[in-house]
Amino acid sequence: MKGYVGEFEELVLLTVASLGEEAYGVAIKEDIEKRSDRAISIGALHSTITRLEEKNYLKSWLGEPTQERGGRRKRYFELTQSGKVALHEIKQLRDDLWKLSKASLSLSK
Amino acid sequence: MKDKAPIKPPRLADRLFEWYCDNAAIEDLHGDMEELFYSNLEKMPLARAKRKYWQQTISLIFSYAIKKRKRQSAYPPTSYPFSHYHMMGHYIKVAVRNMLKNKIFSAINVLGLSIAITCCAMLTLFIQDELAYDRRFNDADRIYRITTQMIATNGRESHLQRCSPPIGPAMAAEFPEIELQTRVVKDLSTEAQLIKYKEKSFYEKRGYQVDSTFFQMFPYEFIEGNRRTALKQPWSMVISEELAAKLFDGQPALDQLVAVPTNNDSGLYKITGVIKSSKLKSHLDADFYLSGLEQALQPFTTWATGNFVFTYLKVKEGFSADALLLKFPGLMSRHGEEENRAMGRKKILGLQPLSDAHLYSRHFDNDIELGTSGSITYVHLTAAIGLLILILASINFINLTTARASQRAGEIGIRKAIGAQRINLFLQFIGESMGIALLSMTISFVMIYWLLPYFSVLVQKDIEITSENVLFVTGVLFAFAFITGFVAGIYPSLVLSLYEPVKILKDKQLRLGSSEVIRKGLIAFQFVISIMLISGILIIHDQLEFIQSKPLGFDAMHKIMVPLRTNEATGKYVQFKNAIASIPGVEAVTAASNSPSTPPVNDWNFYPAGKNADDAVAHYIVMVDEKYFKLMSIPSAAGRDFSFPADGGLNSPGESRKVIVNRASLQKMGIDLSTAVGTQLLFANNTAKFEIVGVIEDFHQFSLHKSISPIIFYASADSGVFRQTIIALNPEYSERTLSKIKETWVKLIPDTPFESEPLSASVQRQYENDKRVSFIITCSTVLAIVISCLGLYGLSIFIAEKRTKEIGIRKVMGASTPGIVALLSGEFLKILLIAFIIGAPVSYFLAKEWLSNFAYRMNLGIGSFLMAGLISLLIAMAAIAFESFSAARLSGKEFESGVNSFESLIN
Repeated sequence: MKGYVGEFEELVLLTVASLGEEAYGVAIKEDIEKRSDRAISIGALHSTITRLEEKNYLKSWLGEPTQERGGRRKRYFELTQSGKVALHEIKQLRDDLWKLSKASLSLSK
Repeated sequence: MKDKAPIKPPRLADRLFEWYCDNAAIEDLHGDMEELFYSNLEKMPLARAKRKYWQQTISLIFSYAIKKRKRQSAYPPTSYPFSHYHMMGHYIKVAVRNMLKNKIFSAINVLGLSIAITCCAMLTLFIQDELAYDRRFNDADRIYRITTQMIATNGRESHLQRCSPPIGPAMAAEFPEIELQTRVVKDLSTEAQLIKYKEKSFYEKRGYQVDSTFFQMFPYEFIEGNRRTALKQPWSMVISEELAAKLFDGQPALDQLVAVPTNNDSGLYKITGVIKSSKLKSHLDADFYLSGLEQALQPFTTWATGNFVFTYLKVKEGFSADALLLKFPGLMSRHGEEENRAMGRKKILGLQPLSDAHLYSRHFDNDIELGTSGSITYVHLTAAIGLLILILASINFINLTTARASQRAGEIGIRKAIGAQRINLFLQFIGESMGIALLSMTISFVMIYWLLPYFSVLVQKDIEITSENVLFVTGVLFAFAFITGFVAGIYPSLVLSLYEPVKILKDKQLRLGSSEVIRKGLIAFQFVISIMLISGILIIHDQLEFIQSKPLGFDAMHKIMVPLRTNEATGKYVQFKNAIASIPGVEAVTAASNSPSTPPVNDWNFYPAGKNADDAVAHYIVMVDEKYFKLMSIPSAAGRDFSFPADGGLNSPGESRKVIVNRASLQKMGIDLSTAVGTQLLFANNTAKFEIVGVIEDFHQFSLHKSISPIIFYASADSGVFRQTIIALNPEYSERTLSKIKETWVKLIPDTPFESEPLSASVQRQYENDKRVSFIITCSTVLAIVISCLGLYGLSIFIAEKRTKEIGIRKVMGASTPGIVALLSGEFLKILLIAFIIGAPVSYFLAKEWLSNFAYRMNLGIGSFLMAGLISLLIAMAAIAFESFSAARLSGKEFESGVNSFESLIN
């Protein structure tokens, strides 16, 4: 495994992946907030995004200027290959663990 | 959507964010925040949305995202310090190149500033010297001088910085809060006292008789003798280092016997001390101090009259002078009140702090003061002049620098484009102006070195640069250089650093809209000052002229005054008079206690018989020899002249003393001219009687600062009262006459050195101070005008340069040379007109103030102000016209460029 991916980082990476073409700051924030029912600050989100970019799991580009943002451009994010690999590795690890502990994790009594 | 101003995120938060992020790429983040804000608006009230926005901003500011982006920004501010020493050399090089490129501008700036700094530094030295008086003594803040205020029943007030002899000692005995008292007496009858030691004899002007406690209160440093005991014995004398050198040529002075013959005695004094000379000054500084004042003042017991004693009190620590002052009326009610009332006046004592004695003593009546007295008005005037000159030079600097800014537009643009911050440019430009100020300061230092001796003479001081004050002078220069550099540099630096690089680079020129207005305002201000100063010198000149031309009421021409300063001289006066009367060229000889321009001392009140003492009028008393009025050409108004020897004294007891009064006296006492002769006068204080035998026309015994006061003359057969011999000479007298007179004196009065002065010179001397003020103001006016002209000249060059193309086009279209000159100078003339409207009333007010110093003053018309305006106009025209003309007479290349511009205009 290349690098450690934290829980919130994983959440961000997956959200970016799920949003596809529309993955930019506010969309990611609102999606995470909606799904996980937790409030996140834009500062925390961008800190994480920046670290993910440093780890080369995300890449970004600037879009066209839009009117509703005072003419400011959006920055769109996309998973890199290594980002995808990292997510797969995490998923693999989890799946393995899930399989091994199926009996103990059963919710039914 | 409501039709309101669009709701926006909090501006302050935006600003904070942008400022914090500086050059980092944060566009997307900013956009995210704004988008969130608007989406929040749909979910929550505005206030909450705004609060959220703030929260987001702050969370972003502390986020890693911003930190990282700032680090990555194209020119991160953190790597770009405000001061960078490696650029220093480059800045200096650019500054030097700029100065060399604009030699005229640079010369005007540097020259103007150095003149101003020199001027200010010298004036500061003068002010410092004036303010330093009397601060040398320990506990100077506890020492006071007793002042006397007399209020006559008729309301006339007089103020003296002296009091009656017994007051000081009585106060010291009565009031426990007084630690020490000491008294000083100056011989009021003579300007100078004779000093004789062996074959040396000369006059010294500064000598006082003092109490034995004098050096206890004023601890001068002794280089010979003992300060505590020096004045204990009568007939002791303490002298200055300079006088000791003059008398004893470096030999020990102690215990030598020196004669100080006066009109009253001719005693020998023993030297008991020599005082070290010091740069620290006091109004009590003198060349000699004589002991024995206690004994000499013993006979004077009255508290009412004889206000000739300078009395100093030292208040004990912890006691206030104000409390002491409250006790004075009680004391005065027990002493001399009756006597004062009999003379029709009330006497009130006051206290003047020692440190005020030098600068705040001008309001006291008559000119008798210890030492030379300064005036706080002159100190203020000097400070104002210095400040004005500094301001003028700074204005030049500001105007020329902002005007020239367009030439540096390219430089500023490129600097900004390659990443210079505003602060860097600001520091560069303010540094440049500091550099110019420091360069000027260096020049100033040389100028001061050369000019200070002349300045010293001008202000009658011994200001010089010594090892003691060289640091102070340097400090003053540095201070002025820094202040001017900063004040003059701050505005141009702010303006120059403000411009946006794109605009400058595109236009290659600065559009200085607001600075244009400011520049005009500053020029107007310069004109206002010039007009004020010019009208000031015109008025001072006119007033002095007016005084010179005013008939004095006597004839000062061809008169020689020979002072009689010793017993020997007064005793031999009659012999001397008779001996010189026969010298060819001598017309007549007379004598008086006081000639015009040597003021008498006032203390005597008279009233006509039939009235009472409450109506007494203060008179100056002048005792004269025969033919005095004839010789002085003072015309008689009524009655007769004195007849000698009959009127020269009292022939029988009870007889009235025969007196002559002037018209002012009659007027004040309310006596009619027709009935004046024969009127009996009573002297308020005793029973002596006086009879008017003649009335003379008014003449100016004093300077024209004062109005004519009542004077009473009486003839004296006793030559002991005379202080001046007045010799009328034939208009064709020769040098031989003068040398004969001197020869006769030396033969008859060998022990008293001969002195003489033309009466006219003595009269003129009364206006020396006015002339000095006039000269100082004239000098500063010339300086101020030179500085302003330099500035105007520089500006006109700039404007002509800037409008070269315009002038070209105008010429192509057929404008004439005079027309273009008018165009170029018209703007200045408008400013001048405004300045005149502001300046003239202000100077009118100031001139009125100054003229109120004179009892006789010229009419203040608007002529002087119009003249000042006209002179400013001419000077301004001269400064502008030269450049305007050369611009208007463009030819060749400029002309062509004008044509080209014109073509490009129409195409």
